[in-house]
Amino acid sequence: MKKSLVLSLLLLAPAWPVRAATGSDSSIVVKTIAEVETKVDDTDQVKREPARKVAPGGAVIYTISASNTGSKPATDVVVTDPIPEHMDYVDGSASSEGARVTYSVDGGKTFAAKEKLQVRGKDGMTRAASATDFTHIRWQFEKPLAPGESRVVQFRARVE
Amino acid sequence: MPRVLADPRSGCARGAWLVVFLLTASHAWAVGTPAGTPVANTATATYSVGGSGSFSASATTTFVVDEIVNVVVTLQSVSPVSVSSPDTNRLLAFMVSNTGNGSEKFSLLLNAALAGDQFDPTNPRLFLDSNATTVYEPGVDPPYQPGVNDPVIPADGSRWVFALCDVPSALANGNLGDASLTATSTKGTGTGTIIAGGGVGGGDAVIGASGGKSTSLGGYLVTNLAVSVVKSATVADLGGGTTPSPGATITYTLTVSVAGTGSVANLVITDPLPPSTSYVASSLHLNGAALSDAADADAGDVGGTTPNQVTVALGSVAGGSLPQTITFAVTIN
Repeated sequence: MKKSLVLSLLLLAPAWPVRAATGSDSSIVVKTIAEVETKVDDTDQVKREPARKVAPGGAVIYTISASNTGSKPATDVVVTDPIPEHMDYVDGSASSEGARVTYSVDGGKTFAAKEKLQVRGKDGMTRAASATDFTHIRWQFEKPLAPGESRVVQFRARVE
Repeated sequence: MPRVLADPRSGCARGAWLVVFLLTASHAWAVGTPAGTPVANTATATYSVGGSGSFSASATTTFVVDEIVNVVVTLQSVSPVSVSSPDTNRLLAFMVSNTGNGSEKFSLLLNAALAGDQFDPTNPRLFLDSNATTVYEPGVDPPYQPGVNDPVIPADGSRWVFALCDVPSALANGNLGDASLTATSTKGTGTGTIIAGGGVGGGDAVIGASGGKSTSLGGYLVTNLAVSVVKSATVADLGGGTTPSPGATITYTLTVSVAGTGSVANLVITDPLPPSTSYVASSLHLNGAALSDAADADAGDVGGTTPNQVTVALGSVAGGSLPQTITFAVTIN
């Protein structure tokens, strides 16, 4: 389910003028890295390392950067990341600086503020959505992304 | 001769043991995502430049889910098992459950030489449930051979293991002999131990909260349950004497005693009527109270359950309880 939006967006992609491929006026390059925190020897310090192997229950920090490599400002920049399959979003972990953060509980069809989301429980009753119900996170940048500018968003998720 | 049908193996369990059994019998579920599962993530962005929309997607990042090693052993028999002294091939059944997220191989150890009990069960042997019947089948379930047929149990799966022990002779009633089964992951032990690359699909194997091993305890309780039936007869002849001549009435008394600790279940006493005699109608009594001759709601019958036979069902009888008496009369033909 969580992959469905990505796939559908990829399928829809040709409907947009895909300038990323042409490299002309403007293009935003999206990069995502997954990291884990490990303790530095016996100290209280932690360091981040690329996530290659993670145990169930382990937290992964996803950092997504959007860089405008074009020559014109990009407006209405919206970054979307699905909560990966087999993972639960860590409540409150999404960065929100300079962006409006909304969440989806329906596989990315609709997005809303966290407190407005509802899901139907196993008993058939609707209830307020919890962090583990989230399927996608969306960041709507408040300001245009100027040429050469990069912005970074982040969230954590835990392996089920 | 009177015949005794009983199940002397079904001694009652002591309360505390039963509670422990119930508390540990609940199934513990494995942790999360299967080991080796790749977890992929791709971020996307939409934006506008000069009024027209664009779309970008990141490269996909992927990591592999590590293997968590966890195991739980739970006793399945109602313990302690009631035994005699001596006794042979007494069963304690255990279930080994893989509560990790990957398939694991476990080595097994049955320890009958434990401290804190009154005797050590002898000749401890382990057998593996070969066909998921959860019932020990001699000759079908193979003996466990360490390092040869260590059970491989899938994530969230479980395997029944049967422990058989003998009981030494000359033990007193109430003596307890414990035996424990330990299952140890062949990947390693010690919570937090990481076996780099040891997991399914290239991930690490991590020893979980169980420390990679688990032990469950069972026990044997010497009850020496023994059922004895003593039969006596009094004769009353037609002349007021005690000569067993034709027409004389013979009154039989069966005295049933249960010795030992615990109780026997479903104790049924049967006694064939002697040849060349006729049963005296309505003469069957249990502990002085009349029983009907028909096979019905009361405890006994004559000829109803089996032709020409007295049958009295005493049910569950506790060891050391007062003897019970069965009386009936016949006339000599």
